[in-house]
Amino acid sequence: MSRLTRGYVTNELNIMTTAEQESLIIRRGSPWWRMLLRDRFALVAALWLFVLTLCFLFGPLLFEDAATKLNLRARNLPPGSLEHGWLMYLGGDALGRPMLARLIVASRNTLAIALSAVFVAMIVGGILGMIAGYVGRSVGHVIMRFADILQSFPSLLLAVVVLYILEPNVTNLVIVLAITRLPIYLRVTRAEVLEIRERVFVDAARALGGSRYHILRRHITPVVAPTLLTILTVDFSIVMLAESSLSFLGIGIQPPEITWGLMVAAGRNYLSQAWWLAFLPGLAIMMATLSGNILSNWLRVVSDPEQRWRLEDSSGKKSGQTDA
Amino acid sequence: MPDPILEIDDLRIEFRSGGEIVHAANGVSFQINPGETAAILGESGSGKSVTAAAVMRLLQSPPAFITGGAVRFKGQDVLGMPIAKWRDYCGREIAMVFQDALTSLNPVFSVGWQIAELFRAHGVAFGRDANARAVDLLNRVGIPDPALRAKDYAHQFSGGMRQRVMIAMAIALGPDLLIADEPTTALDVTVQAQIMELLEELRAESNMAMILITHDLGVVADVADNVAVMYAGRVVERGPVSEVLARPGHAYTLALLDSVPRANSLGQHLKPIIGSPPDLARIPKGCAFHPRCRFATDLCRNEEPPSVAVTPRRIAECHHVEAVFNDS
Amino acid sequence: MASFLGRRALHSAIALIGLILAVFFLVRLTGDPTDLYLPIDASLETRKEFAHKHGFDRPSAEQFLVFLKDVSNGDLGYSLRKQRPAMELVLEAYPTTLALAGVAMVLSITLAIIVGAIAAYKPGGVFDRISSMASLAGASAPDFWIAITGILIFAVTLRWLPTSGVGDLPYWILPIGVLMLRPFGLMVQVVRAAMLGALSSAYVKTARAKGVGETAVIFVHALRNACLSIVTVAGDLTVGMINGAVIVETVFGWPGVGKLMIDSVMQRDFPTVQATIMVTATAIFLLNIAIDFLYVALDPRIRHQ
Repeated sequence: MSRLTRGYVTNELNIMTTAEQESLIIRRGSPWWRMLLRDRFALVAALWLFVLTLCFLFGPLLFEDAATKLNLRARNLPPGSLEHGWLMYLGGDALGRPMLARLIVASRNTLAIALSAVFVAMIVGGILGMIAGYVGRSVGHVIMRFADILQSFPSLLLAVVVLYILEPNVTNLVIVLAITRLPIYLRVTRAEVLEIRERVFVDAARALGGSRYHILRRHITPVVAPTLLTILTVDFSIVMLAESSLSFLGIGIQPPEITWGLMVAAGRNYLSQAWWLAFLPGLAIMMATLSGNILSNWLRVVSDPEQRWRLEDSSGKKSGQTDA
Repeated sequence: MPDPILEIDDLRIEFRSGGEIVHAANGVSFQINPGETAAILGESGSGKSVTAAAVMRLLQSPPAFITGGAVRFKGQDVLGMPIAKWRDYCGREIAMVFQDALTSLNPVFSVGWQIAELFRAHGVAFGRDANARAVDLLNRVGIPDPALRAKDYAHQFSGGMRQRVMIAMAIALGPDLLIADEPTTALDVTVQAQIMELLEELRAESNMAMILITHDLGVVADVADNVAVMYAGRVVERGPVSEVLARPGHAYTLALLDSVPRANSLGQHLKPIIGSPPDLARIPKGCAFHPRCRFATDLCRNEEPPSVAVTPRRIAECHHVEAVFNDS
Repeated sequence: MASFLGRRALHSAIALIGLILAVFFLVRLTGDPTDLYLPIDASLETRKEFAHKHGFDRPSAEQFLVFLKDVSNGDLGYSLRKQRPAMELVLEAYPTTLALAGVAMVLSITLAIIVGAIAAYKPGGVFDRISSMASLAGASAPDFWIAITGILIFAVTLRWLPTSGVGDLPYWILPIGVLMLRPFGLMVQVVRAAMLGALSSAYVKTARAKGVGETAVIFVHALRNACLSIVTVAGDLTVGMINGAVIVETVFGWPGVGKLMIDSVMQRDFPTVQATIMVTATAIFLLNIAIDFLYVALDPRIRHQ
């Protein structure tokens, strides 16, 4: 009877893709690095972000001088040649400064702003969300309407206006970007807190006389934190794009500081003579944001069953629930 | 003997997920004749609903894979025919009523629209004609004010009324076989009886065959001619209801009967079946029921039980048919 | 239904009023608002006169009333660059942005529905993996960079399309393409997830058991339900569209609201910036209400609450 195998079912979809198999194997609880090794895209993304972290940590230290040194003979030097040293491999900018060195040095501002902004957004949003979900209805309403305001207005316009009225320095930029991302963390935290707070273990903690602060810190934070961290990885990309857009428009970081967005803006004037001046920094942004997004997708797959298990009654975890 | 309208022969279904294989059906054999009511009886996880879904070709693959066996409807090979051809049989000659009518009805279309869709999909009637027929059907399944209610949505009906809508959809084109998958499980006890009555009435009217999937012994005793008892993805006993329930030939059927109150067990203690249904990814060796069976011997632990003809019309897969038979 | 719509409208209204309040206070947060409203080289007399005229020398509460009166009259001051009412400039710029965003919106939603539905039909299949990657890339791409690269390839190198400006069809291709990218990428993911849920639902099983063809199962039964999620994110999408329009209009030199905003910021023309905010906020307020109505129309469960 083995002639009747597969294929005769609804979707005629018999091949389990490797990606799906991987996501299923993950449920068996292998360590995270083995799961990462199994997903090629996520692995490449993680490696790239690691390289960027190195650039972020040591780049300015090593290449600050090289990145600002003018070399008139290397003005608008095309990429792909080692003639002027390896730092010139990606070409030279309009003043003959090596692109590679400038890209590495610019990574610090770009990444630092994005990272600070998402962390500020996560912490402030998380705290506000906890208050909105845990403290009381009226306070919750006020906070939620505040989130509405932020969410119903285009974040770029918001940032432009605020940076116009305030001064476009790094601190203000971080604050503005953090504010535009606040609502996500706020809403997610509140929703989770509302759900968790009805659960048995919180009731038990309350019955045992736990203070509100204690319950929030010991019982709710551990459950909310993984979700927030997953959002953080997506947001990292979004904020990086926003910062780059602002810098590109000339409203973000001001020269002589450099970010990738600013480099694109500067290179735009030389588009027909030296395309790489605008192209390469843009590519750097794209590769960083894409890596962030790929990694966050992977993280979602990995953490999801665990999350479900965490939130559900563990007895229903793995039974032969085939009788649909 | 007429040819069976539906024949399931050694059907095997696996669910592959999480690196493990769940054996949902391990050689299910079953048949039903035209005009007959047959029940498939079993606990949840016994593979009864999966078998029905496989017959209707509703299993999603992956994770479900049919690894062996055959299904024949009116002599035609179901699993081998092109899906479009099989879909044409569905609704017209074979229909299904699902367990949870609330999720089984589309929430964003009116029930009238969803019933009329059967006529449209099979090219029987269109437009107003189809709608008028839908209203007739609602009337037939006992929904008051059918013309008005046809415009309502699933969430506006009570549980019993929703199941009536599902039944109206199933019988719309006068199928020869109706598969009812736990049609009353989600309902109140009083409503359950009404729905079963309606199903039986409609079945008798058109002499349609019906497969009733249930875990309720009472329902089986009330309406079915034949019964197939399933355990761990196998039919462990089958035969005429009156005989099987009166004197089981399989230890599991007996245990099942002992676990529910019956008229003749008045005053006796109920004996719940000890243990829990097996994990279908790790089905015990030998007879799957042995860890929970009071008749179990080493034979049961090591060897799969043979099919034993208890009486000419009955089969049980048990090493101790006689002991069970005499015990009941 | 009425209570749902009423609650949503109230929330939107609160958001709109909140934003207007925020503008009022932000302006005064920085010190002397005349700095914002007048050119940097304005004389002391002009400043005093202006401050007096707009009540900046009076108590805050009174200033707020004047501000509200001005806002409700649509009087948001004179543009410093053009010496015309700021409101006029904004209303002139809006049709361009609406056309650009409207076309991009319709195209990206339509395409995303088709791509997302096909991807969800065979999850893990070749099409699904390619479209997942593409939509992820689309959602990750810096739009200004795509715009510049597009100009570099299609306008500078190949000379197929104009570099910038407004005109007939060729002028529209690059701006629309760039503007569509991110909404399309995000939308494909939303549609795919919604369709995946709908296709594994019990009602889809019922439809198949009824003998409904696969095309109707996907595009009638499943899609009609998935529409609810699509409409839910449509509001966010429009808001994102305006973000994109700022970039696209700036790069391609389209005389829309985004370019007006950036130009005004660059030349420190605060009345125009303020007018842009007010009009945009009002437009989004109206749009949110429209979306809520659409949602109610699509979901009978809310209609009968």
